[in-house]
Amino acid sequence: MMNRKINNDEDKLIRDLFKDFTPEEAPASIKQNAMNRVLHDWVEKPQTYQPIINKQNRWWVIIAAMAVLAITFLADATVIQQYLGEFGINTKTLDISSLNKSFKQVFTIFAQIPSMVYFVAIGIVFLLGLDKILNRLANL
Amino acid sequence: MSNNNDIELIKNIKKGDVAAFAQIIDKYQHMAFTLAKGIVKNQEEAEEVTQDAFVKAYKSLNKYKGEASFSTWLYRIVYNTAISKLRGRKPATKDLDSKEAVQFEADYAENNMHRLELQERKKVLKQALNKLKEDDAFILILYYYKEQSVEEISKATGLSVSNIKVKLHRGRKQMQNELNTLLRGELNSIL
Repeated sequence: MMNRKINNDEDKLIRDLFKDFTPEEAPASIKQNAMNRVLHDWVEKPQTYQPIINKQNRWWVIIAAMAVLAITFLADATVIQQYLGEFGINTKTLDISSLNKSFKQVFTIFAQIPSMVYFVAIGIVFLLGLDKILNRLANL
Repeated sequence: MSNNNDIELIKNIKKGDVAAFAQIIDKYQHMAFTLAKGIVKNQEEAEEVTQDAFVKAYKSLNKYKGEASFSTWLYRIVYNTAISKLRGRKPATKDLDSKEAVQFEADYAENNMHRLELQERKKVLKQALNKLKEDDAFILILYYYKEQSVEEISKATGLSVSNIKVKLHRGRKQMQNELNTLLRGELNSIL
């Protein structure tokens, strides 16, 4: 009982004293030096980024895209319209013409581009490929 | 609300806005420095500890998951850094007969007399905190000034709740003794 009273008195005394307490002013050098070290660390650290499509899957994505383009060019979407009709769906309001017709405009845009552009693009890709092969050979 | 601001700042830092870390330093440097000094009891070492703690905090920001408040997380780094500093310190050899030691004792007594005359509670408190053992000052400051609960202090130090309670009790006793010594019984009249 007596001990508890003493503890309470001590607690109150210290609590009262802490009402006037303020943290010590930190020297300006702390912020300056810490930021210098932080910036140094940040500069030293290599900045890496995560590619959206990783290298392994990149080729599959390209193949898939080309396959989709080929299918859209070759497939006759009017078949879908026939199937839908068989299920009793009113297809008169649906305007499903063949996808190759739908994409015709896209292909005509490519056809309108001067052939020189294609040759230059193929040339650049060829040079880049050659550069990569030579680099690989140099590092063997 | 304050912790939300901290979390927003941390997100920006993680995105690469390193300058946002300066705002974190601005906000916490005084408290971190006070807590570090409470343990190492030395201005230069407290500066080093505070700097190191901020750099460590920056480097391990990815480890902060927001489970505790950012301040608690940061104070834990300060605590661990200060304790490491203390452990790595070579034991000081004190020549009691040296002139410096004699001078220190004389200055000490004179300072106390001076404080008694001025009745500056702030100085007395800081002096008393400086006399406490190891991390007792750190715990008392968090408990009485930051008004953190025993559980929060436990998170900030990594010590168990019962250990914190023991240290609080011991710290209070020691603080009372130090205050009595410093104020030589006149404390009651001041308060």
